[in-house]
Amino acid sequence: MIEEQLLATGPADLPVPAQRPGLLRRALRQTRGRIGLGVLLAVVALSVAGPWIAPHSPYDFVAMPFQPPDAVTWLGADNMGRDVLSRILNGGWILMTMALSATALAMLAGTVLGLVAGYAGGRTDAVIMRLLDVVLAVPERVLVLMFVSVIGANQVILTLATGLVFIPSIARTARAATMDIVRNEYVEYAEAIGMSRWQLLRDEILPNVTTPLMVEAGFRLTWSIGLITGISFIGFGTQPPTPEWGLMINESRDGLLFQPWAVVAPILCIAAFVIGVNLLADAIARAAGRTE
Amino acid sequence: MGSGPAIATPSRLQPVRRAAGWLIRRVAGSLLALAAVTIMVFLAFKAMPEDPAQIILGEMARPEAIADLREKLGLDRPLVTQYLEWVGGMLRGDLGRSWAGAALPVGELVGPALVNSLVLVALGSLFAIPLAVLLGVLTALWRNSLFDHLADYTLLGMSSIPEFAKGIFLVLLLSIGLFNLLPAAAMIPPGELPLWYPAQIALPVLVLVLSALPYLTRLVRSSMIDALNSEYVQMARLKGVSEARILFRHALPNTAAPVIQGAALSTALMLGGSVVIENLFRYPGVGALMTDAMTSRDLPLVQAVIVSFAACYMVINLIADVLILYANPQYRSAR
Repeated sequence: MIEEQLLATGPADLPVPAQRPGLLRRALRQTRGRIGLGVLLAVVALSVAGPWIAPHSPYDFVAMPFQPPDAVTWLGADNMGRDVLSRILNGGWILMTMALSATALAMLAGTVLGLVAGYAGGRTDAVIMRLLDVVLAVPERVLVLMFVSVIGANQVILTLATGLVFIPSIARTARAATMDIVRNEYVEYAEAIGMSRWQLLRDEILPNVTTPLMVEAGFRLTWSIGLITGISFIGFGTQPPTPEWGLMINESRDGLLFQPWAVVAPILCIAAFVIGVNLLADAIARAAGRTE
Repeated sequence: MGSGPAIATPSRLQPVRRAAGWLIRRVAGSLLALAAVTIMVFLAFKAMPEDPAQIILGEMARPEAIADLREKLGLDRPLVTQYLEWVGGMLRGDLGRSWAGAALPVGELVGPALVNSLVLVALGSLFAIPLAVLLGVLTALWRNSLFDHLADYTLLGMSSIPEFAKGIFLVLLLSIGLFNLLPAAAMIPPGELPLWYPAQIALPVLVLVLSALPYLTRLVRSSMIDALNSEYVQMARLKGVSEARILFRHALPNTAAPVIQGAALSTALMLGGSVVIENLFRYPGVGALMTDAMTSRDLPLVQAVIVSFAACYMVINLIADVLILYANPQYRSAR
C-alpha cells in the first residue's frame, strides 16, 4: 500500500517531483537564449543609463521641427524640434517600468487565483473561472480602451488595465498546473499529516507550478510591450510630452518622409526590447519542454 | 488510436444527439458570457466620475439644463431599470442615439463600420491561414534544415515588432519611401464595401497577415510533426504507402482540429488588432469608430462597439467549435 510505504520511509525519502531547478540556466545554454539575454541587457542598460548620457533635455526645443540628423541632433529632431536621441534615451525606462509592472501585477493576481481555483475545485473553481471568462470575452485592447475611456488616459491606468486583461490566461495556466499536481501522492501525504491548506499551497504546490508560469511570464511580457506601445500610439496611454516610445512614433508620424529617424529609431528600440524578451521567453519555453 | 468504444453504443443516433446537446450548452454558455459582458460594460460606465449630461452639454451648461437632460436620459431611475432598458433596446436593434454631432442612431454608425472591420479580418484570415499551413507543413517536412531555421528566426523577428510598427515599416517601404505602390491611408467612400478597393485595403490586410503568421505557422508545424511521428503514420510507412499519400491522407487531416482552433484564435486576435491598425491607416472600421467615439466622449457609441466586439468574438469561437466538431468526431465528447 502506498500509504504504508510513505509512512515507513518518511517524507525525506519521498520521490521528489521534478523541481527543475536551473530552468534559466538550461534556457541560456541555447544560442537564442544567450542572444535574447544579450539584447535585453543592452536595451536595459541603455534605458537605465539613458537619462545621464542623453546630450539634451527630452523636453527642450533644440532644432527645427523634423530637422534631419546633424552634428547637434544625431538622430535629428521630432515634430516639435526636440532631440530624438535624447527622448529615446529618456523614454526607455518608462516603457520598461510599465511593461514589467503590468506583467508582475498580472502574474501575482493570476497565480493566486489559479492556485486557489485549481486546488479548491468545485464551486470556488467555477466562480473564479467564469468571472475570468467574462474578461476573455472581449479583445484585450478593447477592454484596455474601455478602462481608459471610463477613468482617463494616462500611463498608470494603461499599466493597471494591461495587467488586468492578462490575469485570465495566467490563472488558467496556474490552475491547469495545480490540478496536475494536486492529484500527486505527495500532496495527499501532506494533507494526511495535517498541513494547513495555505501552507500546502505555498510550500508544496507553488514551487511546482513555477516552470509553466515562467514560460507564461515571458510571453506576457512580450505581449504587454506590444499592447502598451500600441495603445500609446493611438493616443490613449502615456500623454505628451512624456518621451514614451509608442507615443513618440505617433507624434512624428507626419514627418515620416522628411525625417524618418524620428519614427524608425523608437520602432527599432521597441523591436530590440521585444526581440530580447521574446528570444529569452522562447528559450525558456524550450528548456521547459513546451515545444519540441 | 486504440480508443475503441469505451461503452457499448446502444443507438446510432447517440453521437448526433450528444453533439447537439453539447452545441446547445455551448451556445447557452456563450450567451451567458455575452450577458455578463453587457453587465460589466454597463457598470463600468456607471462608475465613471463624470456626469453624462455634463459631457453632452459641455462645461458652460446651466444646472437646470443639466437636470432636464438627466431626466430625459433616464439617469435618475434605478440602475436595474436603466440596464434592462439598454439591453432591451439592443435586443430590439435599437442601440440608442449618439451623443455627438447630429445625434445619429448608434446602430447606423456601428453597422457599416462593423462590416468594414469584418471584411478586413476575413481577408486577413483568408490569406494567413493557407500561407501558414503551407509554411508550417514545409518546415515540418524539412525539419532542422536551413529553410526551417531561417523561417523560425524570421517569424520570431516578425512577431517581435508590434503591429503598428510593422504597418509603419510597410508604409515606408511600399507607399512613401522606397516604392510608391500603395496608398498609406485607406480612403474608402462611406457606404461602399471595401472589397472593391483592393489597393486601399492591401496594406492593412498585409499587416494583419504578417501579425498572424508567426503564431499560426508554428502551430501548424508542431501539430504536423506530432502527426508525422504518430503510430498510424509509421504504420502507413511500413505498409508502403507513398509519402504524398501519407501527407495528404493521414497526417494533414489530423492537424485539422488544433489548426482550426488556432485559426479561430488568430482571427479573434486580428479583430482586437484592428483597433490599432484601423487608426494607423484611417480605415473606417469599428476600431477607428471606437477611438473616435472615445475622443468625443460619445459613450453610447463606445459601449455599443465594445458589446459588438464581444458578440463577434463569440460568433468566431462558435464557428470554430462547430468546424472542429465537424472535422473530428472524437471531439464530440472531448469537451
